[in-house]
Amino acid sequence: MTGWISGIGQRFLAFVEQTGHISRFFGQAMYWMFKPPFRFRLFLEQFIFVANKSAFIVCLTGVFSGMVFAIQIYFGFRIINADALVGPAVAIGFVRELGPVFTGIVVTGRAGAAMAAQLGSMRVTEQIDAMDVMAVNSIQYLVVPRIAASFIALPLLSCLFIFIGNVGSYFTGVYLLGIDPVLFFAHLQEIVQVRDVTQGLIKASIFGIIFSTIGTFKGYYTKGGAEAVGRSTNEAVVETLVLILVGDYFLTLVIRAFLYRTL
Amino acid sequence: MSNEFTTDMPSQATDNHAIVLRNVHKSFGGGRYKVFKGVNLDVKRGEITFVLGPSGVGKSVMLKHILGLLKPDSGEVLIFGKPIPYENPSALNEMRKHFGMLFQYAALFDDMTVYQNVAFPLVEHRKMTREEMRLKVSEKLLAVGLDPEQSMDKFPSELSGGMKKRVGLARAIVLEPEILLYDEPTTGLDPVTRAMVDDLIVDTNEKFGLTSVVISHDIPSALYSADHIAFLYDGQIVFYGTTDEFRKCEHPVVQNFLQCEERHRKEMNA
Repeated sequence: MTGWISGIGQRFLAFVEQTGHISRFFGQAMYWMFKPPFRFRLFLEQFIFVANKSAFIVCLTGVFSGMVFAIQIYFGFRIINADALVGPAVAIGFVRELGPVFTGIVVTGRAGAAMAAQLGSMRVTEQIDAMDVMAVNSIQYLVVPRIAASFIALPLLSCLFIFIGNVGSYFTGVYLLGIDPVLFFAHLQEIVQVRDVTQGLIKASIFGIIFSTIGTFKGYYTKGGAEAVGRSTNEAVVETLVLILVGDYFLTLVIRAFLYRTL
Repeated sequence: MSNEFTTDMPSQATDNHAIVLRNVHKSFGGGRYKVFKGVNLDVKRGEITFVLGPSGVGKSVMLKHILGLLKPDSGEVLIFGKPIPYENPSALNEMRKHFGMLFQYAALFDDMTVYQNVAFPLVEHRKMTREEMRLKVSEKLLAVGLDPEQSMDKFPSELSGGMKKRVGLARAIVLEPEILLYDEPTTGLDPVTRAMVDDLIVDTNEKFGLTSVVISHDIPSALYSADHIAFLYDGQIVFYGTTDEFRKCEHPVVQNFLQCEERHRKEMNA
């Protein structure tokens, strides 16, 4: 019994310690983000890596998500003769939740894992040490451009996901399920409001910070050899996904309290 | 700025010394693993000093202390008579510009060509035109025995171990540092490349008038290249002297080290 409690205690302490380390790491990145030299070329490279190279997979997952949600919502709403609300229901779901969350998940799997692997590999081959020895701040050079690029890229990718998802939903609703196209759009404007879009974009930006911070943190502090790089990558992806899904709930509460003045 | 790191005003006590470690203590794991138990070492200007010792004794930890990547629990590290400014990141970076370092596996940036690797410190710390930079990189590649035309556009994955070391060395000396550090430069190399690296250490030191510190456990390399040898064991420097004094050292661990090397040599001759 004592061992069991002590086990929980140790895990909790390890969790608190890691949270502290990540917060300190993020604080350092923020400090160096606003100190010259500003590395715009590196930022651009990372932006292209995160945004441009994730665009196809975001479109692919977006269109199929939109299509399947349209089908599922249609069969639910048809029972109460609310077929016309399929479009707005998919749209509001995508704008508020599915857009940022799914984009966060997809980009974590692609770019977050790659960040952890790249930095982890640089750490175990002493490339990060070499940078520090050459009087180049490795956090400013390697971490800051990745976090800044992700912070901006994720809302854009999220917009793309939402747009493509709604296109998928429209085509499935109108051409497969036979919903009147006029009805499909009829309630869209009155149901989906600007603050819903704001909510989605805020979430996407925060998810961008989460996945890039955890990805770079895990890679930057990799200890050991090639096996450790794999472990860091794995931990980065799992921890980011958990944090995105858990964080989404609390973010929703906070954002609703501020933007909607209600829960 | 009073705490700005400069090398032009060495203190009187360490006038002749580039690096001084005074009674350095360091432990890890909340004090469980004591790596240094009062390390004292004076590295003279213009010399090649080898720090020898068994694996895991803390030789690389010593390098990290010299570079200010680790801070001693107690004691002090002086570079050209000045204490390392741990609390001031800008001054620490200034101090590091006086160092060049060749890593064990060269630590070249995978995604950069040889030219980009060698030019990296110049891009970061010098205002130069493209042409000046190219000339400087060519000069340093030639100095370490590489043909610039043939090597500049290659990626590290296309280079042999010996070539990587040469490129790593070219990158280490491109800012014309005063102190050059080598971390296990001959480990894992074939005998021919090892001899080449030994020559490179001596030549580079003479050509550029540097102070070199070589972390190693390679006795033949030390006897060939070193002006002074320090032997690190059990958290302390148990021997410091010339190569001749090292051969005659009676410390049991040094003796054991030398005897094992002798056994290897005899087997080779047999």
